[in-house]
Amino acid sequence: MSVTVRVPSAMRKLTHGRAELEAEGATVRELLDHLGAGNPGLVGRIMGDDGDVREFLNVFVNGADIRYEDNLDTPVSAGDEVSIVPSIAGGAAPPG
Amino acid sequence: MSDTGQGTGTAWGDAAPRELHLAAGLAAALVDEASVAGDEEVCGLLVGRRETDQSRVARTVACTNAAPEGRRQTRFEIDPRCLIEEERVARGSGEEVVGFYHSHPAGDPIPSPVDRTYMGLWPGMVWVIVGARALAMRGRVRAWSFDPGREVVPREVRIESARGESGMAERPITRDP
Repeated sequence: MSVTVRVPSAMRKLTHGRAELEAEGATVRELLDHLGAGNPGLVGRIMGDDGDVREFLNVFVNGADIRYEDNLDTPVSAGDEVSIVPSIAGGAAPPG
Repeated sequence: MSDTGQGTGTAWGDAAPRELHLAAGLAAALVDEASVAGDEEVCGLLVGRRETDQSRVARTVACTNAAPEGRRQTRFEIDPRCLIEEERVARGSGEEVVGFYHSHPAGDPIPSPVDRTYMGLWPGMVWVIVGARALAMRGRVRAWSFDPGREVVPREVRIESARGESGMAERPITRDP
């Protein structure tokens, strides 16, 4: 049994156009390691050089933000759904 | 690779359709929603069908503005769970999230620098902005996207009446102000 990872449209060129991937692993980090083998480039878009999730990116496990769980060490189990969602924000204000 | 993780903009799926088709009732509802919210920005999803040259919006889904209290006059944040849930609802229906909308309660419907930053994270999506007032000869509802040339470009908004007539109510501008 595996975990479903949903990929946003903006990253699907790194997954051969697929919106949904199946991965094996006991934590989010293990899932990404597993996915990285078959989808070069994808993991680098999710994790920065510091090994953490990039600032403008969100990872949810069954609707829960992993930043409020155990981050990349958040456990996953078969049948879970992991969603990768770039931030959707903005507004009239100048940056800062 | 940039820090924001945006793509190269040249491969599959990056170009947003050239036109956005929006029923007159939906456009009016977006303007109403922005008005009712007063001085705070509203935000949400555009759900519909994406074709080669156009996206057709079937419905809009309002999302809570998750920006910190006190900053919502000039900032918006869509809770990712709003998108995740809507994608779950739309799955298998042929519909998908084709874009996002938000309002500029005191400004024009033109992407701000901070809008442009986030648009770069979502190439292929159409961003509708509802402005406080219509620009000359153009309405309050305008559409934009971040495209392969790594620029924010206007998209034509076609407002359609209930009888299916298509009007050119919203013309794109040819360059940013």
